[in-house]
Amino acid sequence: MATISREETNRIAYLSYIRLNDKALNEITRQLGSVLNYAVCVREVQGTITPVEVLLKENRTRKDLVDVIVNSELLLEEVPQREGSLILVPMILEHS
Amino acid sequence: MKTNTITPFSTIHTLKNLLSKKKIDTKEIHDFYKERFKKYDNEIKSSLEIFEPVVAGENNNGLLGGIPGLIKDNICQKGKIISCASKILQNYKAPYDATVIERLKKEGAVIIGRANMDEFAMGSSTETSALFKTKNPWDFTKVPGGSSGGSAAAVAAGLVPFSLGSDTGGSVRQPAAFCGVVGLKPTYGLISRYGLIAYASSIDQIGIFSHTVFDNALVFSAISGFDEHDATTLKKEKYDYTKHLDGKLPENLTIGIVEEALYAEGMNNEIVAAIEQAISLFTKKNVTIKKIKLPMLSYTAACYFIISRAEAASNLARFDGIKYGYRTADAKNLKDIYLNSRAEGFGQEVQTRIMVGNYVLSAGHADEFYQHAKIVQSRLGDEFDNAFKSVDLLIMPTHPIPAFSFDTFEGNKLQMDLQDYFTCGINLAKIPAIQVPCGFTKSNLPIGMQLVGPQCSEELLFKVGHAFQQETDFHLKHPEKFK
Repeated sequence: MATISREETNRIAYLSYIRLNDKALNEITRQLGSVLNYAVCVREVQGTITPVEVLLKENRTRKDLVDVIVNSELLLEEVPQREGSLILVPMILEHS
Repeated sequence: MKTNTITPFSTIHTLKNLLSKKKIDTKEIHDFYKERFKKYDNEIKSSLEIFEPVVAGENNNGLLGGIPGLIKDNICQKGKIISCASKILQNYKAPYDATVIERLKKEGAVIIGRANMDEFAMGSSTETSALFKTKNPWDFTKVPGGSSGGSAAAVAAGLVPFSLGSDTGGSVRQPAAFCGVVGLKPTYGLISRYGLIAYASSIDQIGIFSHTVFDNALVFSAISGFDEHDATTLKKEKYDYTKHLDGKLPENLTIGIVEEALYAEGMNNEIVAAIEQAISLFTKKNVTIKKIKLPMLSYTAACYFIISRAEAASNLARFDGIKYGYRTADAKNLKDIYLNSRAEGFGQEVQTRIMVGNYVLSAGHADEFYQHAKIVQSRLGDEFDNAFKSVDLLIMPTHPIPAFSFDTFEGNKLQMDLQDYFTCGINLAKIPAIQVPCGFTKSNLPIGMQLVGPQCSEELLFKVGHAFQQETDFHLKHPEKFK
């Protein structure tokens, strides 16, 4: 039986880059416990893993050619904060 | 039904006939459906946006020349917002067209707008949309199903003759069943996923909603086939999937009944009775019926929970507030941007699924969960393969219960997730299934069943489904308020 503590939920939330407030932490701890308790039944099944393959599948590669599929300006227009052609983020290195 | 003009529930087939005989023109069609959206969509809220003007197709003589369609909001349409019904992408504009959109345009289809959905396709009721809830056209107190609830509701209400959705664990078939329309989940790799925002890449597929199986085959003919932009597409060339739809069942057809599914604990009696009636209709038509066992079925929902969440955790890592989408205003450093943007931008269902995914992949738990889920998936694939050695296709329920009321599962999300119980195994086995309406409950809610076939058996599914619709009239019934 998978029991999830609030501390464990908090750790997973941090790994997932999600900051949880107290209310969300309680609710998600309960939900995580409920889903994992159900899902753990897969342990009862033994066997080997053979990937489910689809018919007609073959390895394919594309030619290594420059191909402008998407205009980079269109992508930059969707950036939350930019300066010219650069994406703006807070400083990540402290001044010494 | 033969008419000389457009009616709210005209099929694509009828509209094409009217167009070819010049009884109507494409402008009349567009005006008609836009008017329907204006008049009725305030009530059910199936769409997130209706384009003004509509996005016209490139070829009026194409397979779908002049036919309007609505697109689930996780499929890229160049220059249009693609929100995935999430705050994190609320104002994000797609920089390119998905392959399915390109193909629809090439075949002359007219894109009329964007459909509401569960946030990032995670849900079975469209209640997790960050924008608003969509109502079931048959009963406004009920959900339309999910995650492609907007796409299903729009077709069911006669607001559009077809729509696209995506199906990772049942997200086309279940809402199609709840709304009383046809819904296809194709073989993995038969419709390109290029331009579909990923939830669980190894099992995601774009699917189709329509009034009839024939129309579904028509849209499938327009959008399926190999795509160089999606390495997982199959080497299948363009094909007309309607050409053998003569209304007759194939000779010597054998259908398997999965007893663990039809008589599973918790199955609604009216759904069981409706499917039994469909089976007896096939029997009368000289179809051989065999009982089939799929012991792994009882593990498929658990397996799906693990695999889908694991892949979601990875796929949704890209939404970090840096490159696109929502960025928190509350950040002093880079880590704050990640932590707060994702906390404020994602809804709780999405957050929970990402966290389940990271848990089942983490050191110490991957063996217990993820590895065993892959074993279940392998064995399930083998069981389906074995079943199709003795039957041509299977009949399974699409849903255990009819459309439920809003907030039914508020305190018990696990029960909501288990709505995928009969559908998600089809995704895990990468095989196709088509949901076909097969009855109504006493309270007039639609009932559906799925026809399930081996890989690349879409043509057979369409043939059997179409023949079933020639013998039944469930697809000809429509919600009273929208007639």
